Amino acid sequence: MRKIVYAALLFGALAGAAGCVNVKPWEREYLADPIMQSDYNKEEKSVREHFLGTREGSVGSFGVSGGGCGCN
Amino acid sequence: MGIAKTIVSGLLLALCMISPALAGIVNSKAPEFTLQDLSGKPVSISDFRGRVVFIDFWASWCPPCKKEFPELNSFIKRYEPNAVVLAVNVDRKRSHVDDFLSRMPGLSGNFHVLLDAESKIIPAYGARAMPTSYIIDREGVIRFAHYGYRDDDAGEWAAEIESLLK
Repeated sequence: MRKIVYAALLFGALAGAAGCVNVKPWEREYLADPIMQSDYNKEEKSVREHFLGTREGSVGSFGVSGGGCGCN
Repeated sequence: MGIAKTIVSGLLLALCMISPALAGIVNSKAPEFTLQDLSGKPVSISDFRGRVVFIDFWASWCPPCKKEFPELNSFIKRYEPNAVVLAVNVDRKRSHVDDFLSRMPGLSGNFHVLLDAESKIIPAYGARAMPTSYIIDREGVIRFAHYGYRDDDAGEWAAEIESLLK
């Protein structure tokens, strides 16, 4: 009996550890909004990259890969 | 040894719980539903019993849906009246749907847009991507599923629909 209880508790812990949020594909409307992209404002992006380049001497490696609406 | 048995028991229990979800919906009866079309008229999937139904879940914010929509609209014309498309939209705002459709060609006679703004129907169908489509045979059983959209999907759609129209 005790083992069954422990097994049930373990299952519950595993289920909870799967993640707090699971966004279904049809719920991604807000995530798909272009304003959610980190480089949505091209002018701001250009200024930021120039600033980082001149101040920190860093070049390239900007932008975000993937992301988007998670449609497929 | 006791701890190992407990862990194995817990994992087996977890597997039993999630297995039905992984089994998929193909070859099961299509869940019944009634939704409103663009004019507010209620439309049920059972209204089309006896015809092949292509049910497509889409949204205006989904880039692959923007590619798929006109392709599907022109594709299904050749199968009128034996097959229909029920394009179920899940946008929260009607204005987004209207804006999307205003940029599309006119809808075919056997292409029906239905509105599911509260996403009540799509969970029952277990969509795994946007768009997700299912092809349902004349008896109301789901036979094929497509998750997402690729440019060469129309070829598969044609083969699948024709196999169900024989």
